[in-house]
Formats: sequence, C-alpha cells, structure tokens
Amino acid sequence: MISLRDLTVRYGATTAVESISVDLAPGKIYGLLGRNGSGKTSLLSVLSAYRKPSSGSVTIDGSDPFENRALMRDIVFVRDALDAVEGDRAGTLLDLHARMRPCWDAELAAKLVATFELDPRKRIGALSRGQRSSLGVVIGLASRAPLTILDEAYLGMDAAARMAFYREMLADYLEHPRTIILSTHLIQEVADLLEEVVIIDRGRLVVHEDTDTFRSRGVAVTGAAETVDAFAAGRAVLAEQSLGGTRQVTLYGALDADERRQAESAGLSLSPVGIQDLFVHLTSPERTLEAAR
Amino acid sequence: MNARRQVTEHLLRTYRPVLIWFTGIFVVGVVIADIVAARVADPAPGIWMYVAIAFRYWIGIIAVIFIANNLRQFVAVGVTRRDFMAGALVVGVLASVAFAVLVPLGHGIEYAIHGGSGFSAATGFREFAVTLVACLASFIAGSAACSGIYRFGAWGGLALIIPALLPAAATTIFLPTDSDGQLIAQYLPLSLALTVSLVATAAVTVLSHWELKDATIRRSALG
Repeated sequence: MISLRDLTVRYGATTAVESISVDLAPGKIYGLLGRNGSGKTSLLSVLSAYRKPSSGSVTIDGSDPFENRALMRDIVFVRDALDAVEGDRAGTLLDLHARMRPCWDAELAAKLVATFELDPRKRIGALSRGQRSSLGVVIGLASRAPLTILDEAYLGMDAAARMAFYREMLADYLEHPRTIILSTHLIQEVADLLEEVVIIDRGRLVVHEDTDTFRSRGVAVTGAAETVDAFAAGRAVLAEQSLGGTRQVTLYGALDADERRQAESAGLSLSPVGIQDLFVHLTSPERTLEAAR
Repeated sequence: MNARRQVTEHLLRTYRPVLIWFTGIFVVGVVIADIVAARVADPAPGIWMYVAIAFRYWIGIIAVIFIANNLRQFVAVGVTRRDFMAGALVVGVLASVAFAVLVPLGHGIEYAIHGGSGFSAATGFREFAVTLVACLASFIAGSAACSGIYRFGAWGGLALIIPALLPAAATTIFLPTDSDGQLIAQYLPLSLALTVSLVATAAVTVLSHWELKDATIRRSALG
C-alpha cells in the first residue's frame, strides 16, 4: 500500500503539491491526471525517492522510500527527461538496468527494443525525442518493478509506437500484475487501461476513485433551456452551452434511476461524458477547487 | 553483489578506457620529451614531476563528472545516494593509489633515462605519500564543489566552493613539489603536512556527504 499523508512540496515561495493525502492499493493501474504545472511530477518525484517532501510523508508498505535501499530497487521512475549519460549507448543503459534491477526481463527488453525499432548501438544523445521515450518505456516495462511510474513516457512517440506501448504494457501487466502509475495528458488514449484515476489540480487532490465510478459521475443533459435549467438546479454544473432554445449542461454527480426517469419524462436526453471531458471541466481555470470537490 | 560494488564496477568499466588513454598518451609524451631533453641539455631537466602534478587536478575533474553525469543515472536504477557516494569514493581512492604508484615509478624511470643515481626508495615512498594525499584531496574537493552546486544551485554552490576547496588548498600550500619532486616550501614537517591535508580531506568528505545525502535528483547534469 502506498500512503501519502499531508504531502507538501514547495519550491521557494511556490507550492507545487499541497497537503495531499491518498492511499493507493497495490496491483492496479493508476492514471495520474493534471494540467501542466499541477504538481504531478513533483508528487511522483517524492514517491520515487528523487526528492524529499517539504512536509508530510510517503510510505510504501509502511516504510519511507527515501534512501531506502530495498524499496528504491523496487521502484522504477521513467520521466520525460531520460536519466542517462548522453554519451552512453542505449545498450549500455539497458545493460546497467539489467544488472541493477532484480526483476529485469531481458527477453521482454529485447522484444520491446525490436518493437520500437531501437538501435542499442546508438548513443543516447543521438536518439530522437520519440526514440528516447521508447527507450524509457523499455526500461520501465522490462524492469518489472513492483512500483512502475511512467511520467509522460510517450512524449514524441508516434501514434503507432504509443499504441504498441499501451498494448505491451497491458499484456505484461496482466501476466505480471504490479502497481503502475501512468501520468499522462493523453487521457482519451489510456482511459480504458486505467483502473483508478487520481486528479490533482494546482497541487491539490481533486478526485481519487475507480475509473468506472468516476466515469459515471459525469452526465450531459440536453433539452429545452428552461427544462434543463429546472433539472440542473441544485446540482453541480461543470459546463453549459446553448444554441437557440436548446441548452446542454454537464452535471457532476451520478444520477440515480429515479432522477434518470424524471429527466427522460421531461423530454431531456442524457449522455455519458468521457473521462477527458470530465477532467477538463474539473480542472478548468474558471472552476475553484472547492467547487470541483 | 551489493550496490556500492556495482557502482564501483560500472564507473571503472566506463572510465577505465579514458583513464588508460590519458595516462598512456601522457607517459609517452613525457618519455619522448625526456629523451629529447637528455640529448639537448646537460644536465637534462626533469619533466615527469613537473607535469605529473596534472594527475591530481585530473582526478578532481573525475569527481565532478561522477556527480554531474552519473548520480542521477544510478538513482534512476534504484541505487541510494549514499551507496553511489561510497561506490564513487572507492573509484576515487583506487585512481589516487594508481596515480600515487605511477608518479614515483615514472620519476624513477626518468632518472634511469637521464643516467642519474639520486632516486632512492625513500624518495619514491615520499612521492607516493604526497601524491596519494594530494589526489585524495583533489577528488574530495572536486566532489564537494560539484555537490554544492548540484544541491544548492549556482549561487548557493558558489558559497560552498571555498570550504570545498580546502583540501586542495592544504596540499597546494603544505605539499608543493618542484620538478624534481622535492618539497618546495616546508611550512610544516612532512608528516604534519600530510596529516593536516588528510584532516582537511576528511572534513570536506563530511561536507560532500551532507550536500548529497538528500539532494533532489535533477533533470540535467547540474540542474
């Protein structure tokens, strides 16, 4: 179990992560979603022992991962800037991980290198943005670390490579379940992979729940403007738009069977809202955090 | 195999070719210069000790490269900062010992090329001790200076450069040698000068450890 308690990360006067408390059960794929500068990477850096929190705590199975020899071996953190010596060859970096990572799967690494068409003899500094990301994905997956953190690992990868990444990740996860935290802006692409979503905005936790529950919280209600307004009264409205006499509002909060019947009998149409749309509404600059909660 | 040893082995594997090439070119260059000097001057001037001082500065640069280049790479493979520091320190000590052996050895060979007979075992041992202490001081000074910048950024690190360079300053002041390997200005007896340098080195080792023990792993070499 990963437990964050009142976790805060500050950079001088800037607070990147503000008093986040959350528990993440092992053996699931989590989506960590947030806008640019929302504090995702800072949070992941603390989790992966790359930095100390300014205050609060992180524990993994009851122990602080920072400078913890046993835990650090079991965490792989792949961030957009590949942590490697630019002059080294890709193969040298893979060899280093192979020697240091207790669960390294050389066969999987070789397969992924072939899938992403990486040349292990090429120097890291000479790799394209997409190739560097692919190399990071190879390391992230072949390490088979009990805690695998992929922070925007897809940057620069073309659509085919990203699909291969998702496919390989899911296949390997099903065979070797572990905790995977995927930080991404390509929400729609990964929505079906995620078992739970964690949304942070401006350093604070906005949502943490399983993906299906989160998905069910959003509903778009469309119909005559007056009827829609009457139905939406007293509910959390994330967004609204009008065209002539027709209005559509996006509501946050699941509707029960009675509410659905009431809406349909009033001539309103109900449609689901995608995770990405919900995310956009919940983290739009106009919304205050309190309203989002 | 423990993490410290893995760090040491990886660093040795990575930097050994550079070290061998550097030393090889250096030795060949000095031997050629010595042969030429022996033909054109009488008595021929000693060159080896004059240029061998470069070893101590070079080892300081190695320490900088380790932190700037390799720290984040090792933390990324799951090695703790203290295991990295311990593994890198072993490389620094091994390189210092190698240079400390090479310096009197080269000096003895130079004497032989020049046909001199004044090189004794005592001279060799003194040069070994002085070079070893100077190289260790340089390694730790380079490590502490770079650690300060890595941890606190350019301005904060700049303030820490003065204490970081104390070991190098101590060996420069108390253990300076001339082109024949003789101590130039003996402010202190040799044993005391060596002790002072080692104490400064040990103190700055503690500083370097303090700087890195909970440093944030940055995205680039020096943040």
